[in-house]
Amino acid sequence: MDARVTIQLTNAHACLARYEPRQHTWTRVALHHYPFDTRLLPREDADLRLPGRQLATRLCNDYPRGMTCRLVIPASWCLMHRVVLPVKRWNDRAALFEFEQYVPVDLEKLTCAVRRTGRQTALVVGVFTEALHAFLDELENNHICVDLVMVDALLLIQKRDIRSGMKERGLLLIDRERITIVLPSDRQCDVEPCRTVGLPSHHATAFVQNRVLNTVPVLHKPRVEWHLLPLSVRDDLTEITGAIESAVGRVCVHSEQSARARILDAATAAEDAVDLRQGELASTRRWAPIHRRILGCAVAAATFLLILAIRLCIDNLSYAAAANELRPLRNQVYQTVFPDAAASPAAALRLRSERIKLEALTDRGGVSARDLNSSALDTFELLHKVMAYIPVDLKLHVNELVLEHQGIRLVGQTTGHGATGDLVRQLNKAPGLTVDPPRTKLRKDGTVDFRLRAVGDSDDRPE
Amino acid sequence: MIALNNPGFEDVKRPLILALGCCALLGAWCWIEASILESRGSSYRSLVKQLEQMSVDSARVRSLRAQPRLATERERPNDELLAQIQQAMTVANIPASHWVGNDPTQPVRVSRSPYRRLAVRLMFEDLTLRQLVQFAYHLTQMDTALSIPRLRLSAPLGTQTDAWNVDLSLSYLIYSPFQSE
Repeated sequence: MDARVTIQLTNAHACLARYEPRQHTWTRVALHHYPFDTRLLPREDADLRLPGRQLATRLCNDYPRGMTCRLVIPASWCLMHRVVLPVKRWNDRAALFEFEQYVPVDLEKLTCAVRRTGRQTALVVGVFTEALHAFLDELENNHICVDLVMVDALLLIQKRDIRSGMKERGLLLIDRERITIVLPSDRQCDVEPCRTVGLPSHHATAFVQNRVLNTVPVLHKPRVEWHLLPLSVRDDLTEITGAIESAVGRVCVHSEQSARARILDAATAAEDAVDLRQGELASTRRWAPIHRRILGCAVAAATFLLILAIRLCIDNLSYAAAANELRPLRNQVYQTVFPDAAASPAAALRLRSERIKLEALTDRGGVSARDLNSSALDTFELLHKVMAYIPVDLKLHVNELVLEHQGIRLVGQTTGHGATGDLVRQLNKAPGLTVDPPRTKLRKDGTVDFRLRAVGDSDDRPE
Repeated sequence: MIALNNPGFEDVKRPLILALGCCALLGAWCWIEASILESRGSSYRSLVKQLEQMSVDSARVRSLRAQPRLATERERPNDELLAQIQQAMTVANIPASHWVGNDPTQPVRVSRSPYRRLAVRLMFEDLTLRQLVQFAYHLTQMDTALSIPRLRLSAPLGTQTDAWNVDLSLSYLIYSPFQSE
């Protein structure tokens, strides 16, 4: 993650390190030396663009563009002091007002961070806005986005470290150009770092800031008298530490290398560290990662929509092609039934109509044409049946025979009533026929005129 | 919340607007394509279904065409029917003089069915039963839609031959659904 990249600056080097969460180690991506200049000192005319321009270019080459990282600056670039509020009610403005007494410049030129350390005490850290702003701008112009600006000395001495048994009364940070002395001031365990003042490279001079600044009268602020404790890097370190120890007690000495791991660890973990990336130093690109993510989401959405649209377009074309392949098939099927007919958009309808019509014409419809239409064979079968059941030896003169749906009607003459009775009995034996009792009339010559009617059963003789 | 008025936003403002514009355009394109797809898909499925139905109908039609017809599609011209009768008479060796009359009627709707029935009453004299049966057989074989629903045989007055006066009804069904009336 970007947040795990830290740029740690000392007075001579810039170290770009990346945290490896799996191994819990730091990988030093780059270490650049930049020429030290006394103008880097916290003065009004300080010009931090000098290292910024070079460093940003180099760091940009070492790491992908657009990275977000944390910046650790040396304490020697800052003004720091513990202030005690005269009123019980906490107020940042009051803390700054108190801090103003101890700084040699107008507060407007500083960007300050206030960290409350007690009920009425606070640590105020200030940095020259214009100088650091220029440096950060150089980084941002090279697409290195800094989200937090922290101070190395404050990272080294955390309150919890002191509470957990830190015995040292002071801390010496020694880099190639500077010796920085950090002193917890009293038994209340408040952190009150000191300030270092730069001299030409072969000299490093430190003074105990709280002791000096406490003596600065407010009214004489523009003409601050600096109480210097002259020290030199050429001097024996033992002498330096001895001098400090004699002043404040036990001192822990850190070289640039030995302090780096602790500083990087603290920079990663210290979400509540004193952050100077505020006010005028607030990043103009603070939201850049979120903006980039929104942009990324929009691009991803656009890409997704593009793919989806292309897919839909392809599907549409596939459907159109498949439909175009089916239409000739439809015509082929149609022309198997109507070979001479031209292709018709209503082919299916016409085919269905033809099927229904043919079903109706061929006794396949819902109403059976066969049921409605008695065939000639039925009528003649009935005639055959009647003839078959008329006794062969019966003398019968038929005047009229009517065969119809309702049955048969037979009018004729027999030799007598007995013959008529025989006729009726025989016809009744015919399956599907029910013969009504005949009407008869005896003639003078002894013959009998009869008129009989036989009704066909409903199963065999449909109406 | 995301500091849209932040100067840093200016860096991504143009590409973001471009991307969002693309999203809007692509979204509209997707919507249009989806609408077309839905329509075409529905059309395609109905076409497939229609083709399947047509295949079934086609096979059915071909099968039904081979079946004898029990009804006609339209009312026959009278001349056509008379020609068929004469043809059957010829086959049955019935002299034309024995055909004494015919009486066509108007088609009548068979109750609540898609058919109308047209009947023609034919009157013959001096027909033997053989002639009658041959006539009826050939007539109905020539046209399966024809039927003889009623047959009346009466003995000629004062004769003792086996000839009959015949009064028969010849009818056929005309397929005539209600919509076409």
